[in-house]
Amino acid sequence: MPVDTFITDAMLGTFRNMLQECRDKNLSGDDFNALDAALARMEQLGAEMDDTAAYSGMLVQEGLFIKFSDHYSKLLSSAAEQASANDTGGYDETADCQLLQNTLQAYREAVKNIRTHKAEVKQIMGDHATDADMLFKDQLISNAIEAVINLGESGISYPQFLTQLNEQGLDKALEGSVITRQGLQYSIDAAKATSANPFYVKKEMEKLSLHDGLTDTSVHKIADSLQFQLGCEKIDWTYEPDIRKWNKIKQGWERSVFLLDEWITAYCSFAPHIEPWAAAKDPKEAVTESQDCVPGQLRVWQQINQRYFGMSIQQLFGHPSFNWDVEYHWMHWSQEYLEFLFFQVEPVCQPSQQPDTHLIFIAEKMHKENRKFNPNINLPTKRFASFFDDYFGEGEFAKRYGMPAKPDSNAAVWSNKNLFTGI
Amino acid sequence: MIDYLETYKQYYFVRMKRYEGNTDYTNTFAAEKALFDIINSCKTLEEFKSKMGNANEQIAIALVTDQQQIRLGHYNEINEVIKAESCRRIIEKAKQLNNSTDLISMVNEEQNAVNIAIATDTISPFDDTGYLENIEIWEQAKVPDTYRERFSAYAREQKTKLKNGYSDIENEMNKWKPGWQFDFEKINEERHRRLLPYPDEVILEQKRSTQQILNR
Repeated sequence: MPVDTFITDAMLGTFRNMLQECRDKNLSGDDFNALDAALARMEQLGAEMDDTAAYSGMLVQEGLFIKFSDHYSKLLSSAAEQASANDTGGYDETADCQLLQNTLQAYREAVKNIRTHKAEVKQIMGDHATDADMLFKDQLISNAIEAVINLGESGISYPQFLTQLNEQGLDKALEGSVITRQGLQYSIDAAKATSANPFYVKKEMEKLSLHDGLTDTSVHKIADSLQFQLGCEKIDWTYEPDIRKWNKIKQGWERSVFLLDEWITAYCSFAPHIEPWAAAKDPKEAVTESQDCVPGQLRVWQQINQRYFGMSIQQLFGHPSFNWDVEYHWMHWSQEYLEFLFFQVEPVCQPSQQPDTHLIFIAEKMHKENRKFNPNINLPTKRFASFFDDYFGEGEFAKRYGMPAKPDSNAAVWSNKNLFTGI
Repeated sequence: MIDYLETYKQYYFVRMKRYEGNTDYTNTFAAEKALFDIINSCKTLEEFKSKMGNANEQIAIALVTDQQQIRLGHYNEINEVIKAESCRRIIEKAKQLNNSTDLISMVNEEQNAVNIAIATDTISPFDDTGYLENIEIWEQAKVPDTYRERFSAYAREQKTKLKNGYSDIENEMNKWKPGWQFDFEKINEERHRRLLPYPDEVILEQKRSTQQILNR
């Protein structure tokens, strides 16, 4: 079965148009034939292969995109050279006027294409078409191009046009309009609304600061795109190890909590009737396995984290990732239940040991009174919804995705985010 | 009446001045200056046309060279050797070229090559320690003897999943680079090693355990 035409149309559509453009111009010769052959090979592979990833890989391995682009540019440049060779007039006013008109026409076409493509995107987006206005600031690009067109239409010659383009930095404005300050601010706001960890926010803020610094120091007040690109790459590179370590340590305390919860809850009278044990083939046997084996698992997990980070279970709980999750309401559990697990259950969760009846009584009570879970666990969604509405319109988040119900928890809200710090 | 020669001289002068004194763009400035010097020595535009040669193309080559030097400095600084090597190759190859068409082809080819090199420069799934951790838990946890056989089965299941993970990545990478095999030596290369948040002895042990399971 061939690769889906939806995929091949998206991948090859531009190349088909480019080839047709060459046919329309009656271009021919070796480069045209090679161009034709490269596209034919792309089409053939699409018809023969059925795996999209393998198809993409083969196109890259055979260098078909490169071959096509290579012969396309050679074909157009030899056509231009031919036209130039036929031009016996040299540098006269008519030729220069024509060059200027051709250039301006290309810019006019570009503005038209940008608007057409945006209109197409909006049509596809249907009810959410206004999002395109928020996400794609075409006006900034169009304004930059129109400034160039206005300059060209101001009655100056082609070399004067080119000179002023350089002097006024309008060519840089075209380049710079791709990087928008609003886009960077959007990324900061999205990172803050998510607040998954401190590094994502820091990264986005540093990118904006880099952009502003480059803008301030440039002659035409436009950030250099190469310096900005490499600067952003360095920022991502710098923070990536911190993000990975943060996530791994977070996994350390998260899994510890889940094991402690599994162990103490397995001793509750209702355990065989709730998840995960109720789903087992033999719920009672599964409950016994949790009672007998979780302490051994917890202690191996403790050794693993000790080896990784030199951190005990207590130290994992004291890590800033724990405080962060409390502060930004990502914590799944309530403060009172975590205090119970940490101070009372963890010390006795040892191989061959059982919790005393008092601990089992507390666990049953907290479960029955519905006090195990964070009553504010819906706040991250609310926070994100507020950010979303700021950009896309009041009530838009709820309209599209719905809002989470108020959490079914009778626990008190977290009052001490640094509960385990320094223990 | 416009004096085209003078306005073109002014144009090339402005272009040259844009790079003057910019230490990142010394080659571009030199190439722009060479072109300006040519036009500045001409009495007519026809003379300029006949004298220009490939000076315009040399500017494109110089600009690519300077930009790749900037990239090279950046990748050297962060020790991204594959990307740095691609910059070095482009700079070297650009020296042999004298027209922009060949330059575009060469840069495109190099871009294609480095994209494949980056895509296949992976230590996945070694960087996901989940299977090894689960295996250790099932094999090492102190549990009553009655569970030993069951826990061994859990561990075997994780080992199978780990093997599948390596076989999946090799299948995927072979679509991009035929003959690709997971390379354990790559783990110690800085661009990969810096992303693993564990001490060296832990990495060494993870590597030994993985190789033992994969029988490599």
